[in-house]
This record gives sequence, structure tokens and C-alpha cells, in this order.
Amino acid sequence: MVKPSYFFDFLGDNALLLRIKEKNFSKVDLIAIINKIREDLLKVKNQYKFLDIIPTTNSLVIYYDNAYYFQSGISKPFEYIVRNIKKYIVFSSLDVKKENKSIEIPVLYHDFINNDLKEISDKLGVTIEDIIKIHTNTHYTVHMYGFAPGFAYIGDTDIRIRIPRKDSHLPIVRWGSVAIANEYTAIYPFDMPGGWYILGRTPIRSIDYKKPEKKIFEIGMKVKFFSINRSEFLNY
Amino acid sequence: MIEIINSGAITSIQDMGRWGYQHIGFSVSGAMDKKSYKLSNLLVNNCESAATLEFIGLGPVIKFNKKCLIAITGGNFNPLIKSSPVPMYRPVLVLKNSVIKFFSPVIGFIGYISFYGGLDIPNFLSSKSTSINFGFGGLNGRKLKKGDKLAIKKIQKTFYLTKKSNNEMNYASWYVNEKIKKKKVNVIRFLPGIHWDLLNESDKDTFLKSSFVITSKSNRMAYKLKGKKINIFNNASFESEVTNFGSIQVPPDGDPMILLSERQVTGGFARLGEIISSDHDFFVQLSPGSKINFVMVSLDCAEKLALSSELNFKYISHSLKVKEKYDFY
Repeated sequence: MVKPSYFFDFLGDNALLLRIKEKNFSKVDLIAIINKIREDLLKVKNQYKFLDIIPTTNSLVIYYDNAYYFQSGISKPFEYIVRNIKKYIVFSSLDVKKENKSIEIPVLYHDFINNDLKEISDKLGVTIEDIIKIHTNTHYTVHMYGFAPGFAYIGDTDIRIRIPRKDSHLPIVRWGSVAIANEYTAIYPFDMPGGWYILGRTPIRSIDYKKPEKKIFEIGMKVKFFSINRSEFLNY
Repeated sequence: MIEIINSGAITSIQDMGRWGYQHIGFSVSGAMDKKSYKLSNLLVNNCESAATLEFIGLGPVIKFNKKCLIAITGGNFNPLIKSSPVPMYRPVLVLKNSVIKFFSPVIGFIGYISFYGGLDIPNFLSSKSTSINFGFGGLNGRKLKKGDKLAIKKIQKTFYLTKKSNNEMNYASWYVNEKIKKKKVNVIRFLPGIHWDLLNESDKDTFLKSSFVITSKSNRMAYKLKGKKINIFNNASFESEVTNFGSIQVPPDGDPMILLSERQVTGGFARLGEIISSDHDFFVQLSPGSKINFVMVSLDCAEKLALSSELNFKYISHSLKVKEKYDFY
């Protein structure tokens, strides 16, 4: 892969935003590049008092403690950080073809809890059977975290089952609910309000709050869903 | 031990926030008005990031089951013990079985009460801050309610304040002069945000010349504003981007909202700007109904103002440390 070029912008006066200049990378490659830059910068996180380094699908945001820079006699933290961190961004593992981890997620699509299969079918004109077939046949990649703790955006969904978010939120969506909205599918990590269309439910907990680093999804990971029946779900 | 006799509106345990987990979707949370929060701790000789109580909109009623050194900062909620006003911005020694009552704020919108020793609750992901929206941290992940009891960490050092006293409490004769003041015009300065340049010149001009009012739909996640609607983003869709404290976001309804402590890590709405960090504390203390005007500044200006706020804070914290050494207790 060609070494990409990048530029910095500010996100307020206590965070900076890094973006890739080239527009021709595929979404999956762009995610890989952004997360490799993140890996490089994590090595100097403590040294530079970075509070958080957060990747999305098209940018990387670094929160820094500007008080620390002021105390060290640096009156323009943004410029200082931009000038100094470039040397750490070496895309160390960009050309090393890493074996991408993959995971298969069991989903009960039918008759266990309320789901929106009927509504999606009516809205999109695709049969329920086809929605399930399309959802399980697609190869997905974990794109980013956001929205809620442990909520991973997994994409892209097939164009035939793309549906915008619902107009109103459900007060409680059960943990494990497998849902879709626009180009993404996701698993609700815990009981919470939500506005995505629900396809079914998985018995797998995607994150344990007490040990959030032991989450099942890593960014860049390959994901597939497969259908299970009610007794498989209950005995999982 | 302290006991919540009445919880007020939004009373919760807060500290500097839960940093280091935003990359897996955990919002930072933490105190809304950082300066008042840190000062409350420094006034009672805590480290500045100890856990305190934060109350918004309507204050709590708290009973002290033992003698306790406290400090109250932030908005003025007219605190009383029996019928004696409790002075703010100074250390106050309250007696065993005292009950402190806070009312509605007369100035400001958010108050802090710190306790010498700090609140003794476990950390959740390296912070004691409550994330009310997602239900974790603090006390069982929720705002406080009537009957809640909170332990205060035991402290070795004994303290006495002999400077001033009445029947209900002893308090220091000095105070930190950082009380929140009302201003005639509330100017909120911001840096251009990621979608600012999608506005044409006349839209930019309109935004900068209009006033906005903070509505009652305001909480720890965001303050919702009302003013001239910004309709050009109605049908636009944006990729999810990382948010910040003070992000000026425009959802499809056209009314801007300012993202705060319990904001989601990422957001997919248009972002006009980012309120500069030295105006964060001032902004969150504006109560619903307050009128604000936005003024755009440069990064250079924002950093200079942040530096000057930091120097001012360091000066106060240093003065308090000197006091503590010589005549604090």
C-alpha cells in the first residue's frame, strides 16, 4: 500500500483532528490506515499527555491536556503537538499483511423477542427470508466504536437492506439485539434506548463493562452472522 | 457518612471524568464546571480531582452524620443550615447531625459541595464520575435519590477553624473571590467547526448576529438552544465524527445544541463550531432563559485565553496551598 499523506486540524483548543489527504482509499483500507496511525501514537500517549486517541472511519482525534503544555512553558500546544508527533507516525505495520481476526455471531432472527423484520420487509419490499439471507451472507468489517459504550459500527450492509434509523427511539432495546441502520449493522451492548431496526438477537455479550478491553470486536475485524433457532439460542 | 434527605433535580457524584475509554464508546462524563469543581476540592485540602457532589437546577438537602469540613462553590443555591446562611468559596466546618439545604439557584445553574477526604466510593474504569445516561460509575450509575448514604474517606489530620463561627458552623474568615457573576451580555467564543465552511457567507453572518436562548431542555448531555433556525443541514447526512465538550451541533430540527459532559463520543450531525475551553465553565453556569451571542475567535486567541485561565487557576491553587501550610487549619 502507498504511504498515505495526512493533515491536522483543530477540534476546539484541546483536541486535534487528523485526516488522510488521499480520497481514493477504500473504506476498509482507510480504517486500517487510521488505526495504524493510532497504534503509532499510542506509544507516545503518556509522554505527550494525550487523554484519548479516538478513531472514526475517516479521522483520528487526539484529546490533549493543554494545562500540561502551558505548565511546561509551551503556549501554543496545537502547533507544538503537530510539529512533534509526525516523526512517530511511521505506519510501522502498514505493509505487514496482518492476519485479520474474524468472528461469527449467532443470531436468533425469529419469534423470540419483538423484532422489526415485518416492518423492514414492508418498507423495503424484501421478504423476511431474504432479509435474513442477505444479512447472513454479507462479509462485514468492524469500522469504529461510538454512540454508546461498546457499541461497534459493523459494515457495510448490503444495499438491498439499507434503511435509515427509525423516526423515534425505543426507550429500551435489549442487550444482544442485532440491528441495522443505513450502511451499518450493530449489536446493542446493553439495555439502552435505540432507534435502529432490529433483526433479531444474539446470546453473546459483546462487552463486559468491568473489563472493557475484553470486548469481542476489534476495529478491522471481519464479522459474519449466522442464524440459530430458539433452542440453540436458549442453550447457548 | 452523609445522607441525602432530598435529592434536588440532578445531583450526582462527579470528578474529572472517565478518560481513556472513548475509543470504545465510553463518554467522558465528569464535572460540568471544572473550575468550580476543582476549587471546591482545593478549599478543603483534597486533591483537585477528588469526587464531589454536583447539583443542577435545584439543590439537594444533605444530613451530616458526623462533623465534616466542606466547601461549596459554583452557582449560588442559597445554602442554609437551620436559618444560617452557609458561606461559599471557603472551608466550613459543619457539626454532627447538621442538615444543609440548597434551594433554586439565584446565580448560576450548577453547584458543587466537596468533603474533606473525598467521597469514598469505588472507581469504575478509573473514575468515580456518574454517567447518568448510560448508567455506570458514581453510585449505581444513577443520580442520587432520597435515602442514599455516602461514606467520606477517613482523614488522619484533625482540623479546626476558629476564625469565624456561629451556632451552626465554623468557617474561615477568608474566601476565594471566584463567585459566579451575572453578565449583561453573554458572549460565547468559539472556534470554527468541521462543517462551518458549508455555510455560505450570509448564513455565517446570520448565525454570528443572532442571539440564542438556552432552553429548559438542558442537561448534562447537552444544552438545547432556541433562536433563528439553521435549516441548511436539514437533509444533509454526515459521517460520524468525534465530538468535544462545547461542540455546537445542529440536528435536523435546526435548533443548535451544545454538547457537554455526557455527550456521546461520536455524532453524525452538522457541527458549526467548538466553544473555546476558557468559556466552558462560564457557559454551563448559564441557566435556562439566558441569552447568548456567539463570537468566532482564532486558535491563537483561544490558546492565549486558555493559558491565562490556567495561570489564574494556578495562582489560586498556589495561594490555597500556602494558606494550608500556615493558617488553614
